[in-house]
Amino acid sequence: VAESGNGRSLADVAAAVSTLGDAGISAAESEVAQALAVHSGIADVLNALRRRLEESQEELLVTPSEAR
Amino acid sequence: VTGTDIELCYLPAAELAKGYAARRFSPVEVVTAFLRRIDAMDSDLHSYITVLRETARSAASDAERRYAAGVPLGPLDGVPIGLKDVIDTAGIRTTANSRHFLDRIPRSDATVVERLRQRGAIVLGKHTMYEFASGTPGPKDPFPAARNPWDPELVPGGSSSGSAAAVAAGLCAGAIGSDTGGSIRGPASYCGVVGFKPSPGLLSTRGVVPLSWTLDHVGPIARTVDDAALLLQAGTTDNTNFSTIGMSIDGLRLGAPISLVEAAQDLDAQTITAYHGAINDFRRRGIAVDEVTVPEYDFVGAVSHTILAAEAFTYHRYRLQRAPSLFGAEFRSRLLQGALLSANDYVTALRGRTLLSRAMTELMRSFDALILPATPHPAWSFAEEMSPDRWRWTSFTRLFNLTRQPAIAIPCGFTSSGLPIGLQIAGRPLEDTTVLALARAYEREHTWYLRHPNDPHAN
Repeated sequence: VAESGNGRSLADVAAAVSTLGDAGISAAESEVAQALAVHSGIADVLNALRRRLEESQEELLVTPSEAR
Repeated sequence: VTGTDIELCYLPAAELAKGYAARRFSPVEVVTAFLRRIDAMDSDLHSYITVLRETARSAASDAERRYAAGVPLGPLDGVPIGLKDVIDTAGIRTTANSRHFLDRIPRSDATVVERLRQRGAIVLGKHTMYEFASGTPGPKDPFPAARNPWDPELVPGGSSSGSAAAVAAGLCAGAIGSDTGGSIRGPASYCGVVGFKPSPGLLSTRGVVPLSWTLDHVGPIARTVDDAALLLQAGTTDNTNFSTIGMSIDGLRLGAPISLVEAAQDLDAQTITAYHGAINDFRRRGIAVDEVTVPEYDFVGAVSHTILAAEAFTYHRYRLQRAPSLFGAEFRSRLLQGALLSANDYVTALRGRTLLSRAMTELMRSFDALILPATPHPAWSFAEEMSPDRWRWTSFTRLFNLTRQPAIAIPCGFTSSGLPIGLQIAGRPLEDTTVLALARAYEREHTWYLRHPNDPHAN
């Protein structure tokens, strides 16, 4: 798989550039690759959090009082 | 800059009002001394974006008349302060240090400014900061980055960089900053001053340019804990008395997350030594300090990052579409990270915040406060601060923005090379006075606040 300078696949970067373009945002591929690198580090922890939340027996909805 | 200027400019804010009332010096003399000092030093320190010479002099004359008539507005009357340039000031440019806001002149004061002015505080100027209270200093910033008064080659921390630098250098008696993940406490720690993130709502965020609506806090940066309490008291609409003078800390219980702190990969050896020293100091005073484990801590960074990036992107989306090149590269990158998040990511982070808040509520049933370092290391270089891997660094501050806990940074020592080290004390939500009382008790025994950076302009 071809990689960008930040270790992201060129296909990932192209897809992200396209997603951003659909939202009216233009950005250089190098910038998007860097943002994706951070995004992927965060995504790993968010996935672990998803598993933790699924295991939880608690209702961890965001209620109005907790959102305040 | 005269010897008298230095003495006046390093007086705690609480002492200024006493001096005015006793006619030892006047608000006009004090404001003049600060302005002289800013003129002499700030071309190197860059702690101010805007200095309000004429309005400050005029406000000082007004305060002087009130003292002469015996009707001061309170203990902050005539005290010169600075505001982070993210806080709106009527008719005065508020830039957030961004090219997007270079010509932005708010019509009205932020609520906190309104309150402080009503109590006689004098606004000396607007302080330098990182773009939109995020990011890092960058080459495209419209105003030069503030420098650390203890070593100008090092950063003062961010994002309330100019505010902490100015307080430490004696260029204002106190300041108001904002803190979304540590932007008051980090700079306070790097600059050897007091930085307080109060419970949310105590200082209004109305009229403060948002970074993240649900994580932003407004708070004081000051030379002493009493000064921080004074600024909080003057700026809040809450009826609580935040003065902790005479308040006992006997019987309070502290938790120390030592394992969590020692696991930080970027932990500095002298910081951990100072931290253990602070734990021992509290124990010597008879305060119980137990080691604790902070539950669910591994999620803090990702939850904080996701909420902040998603909310910042939402606020700046229009600007990112229309004029992306006006943002600095680092902040634009953060906005792109926000743009790439899904609704599911954001809701997962909000649920993670609830998980963390509930876990901390449970933990805090056994403790009145937690103590931990404010930052894992003392101030570092601009190159380190601008590293693209910055998001991976340890933060001991973000947790308390998520959990809405009041948290204060106070000096707890100096490294062998003379850089300040900061201690953080975090309490239960809305128990701000407990945090202030513990910080004050520690400060009374360790008068680090009497130590000042070398002053190249002193006589």
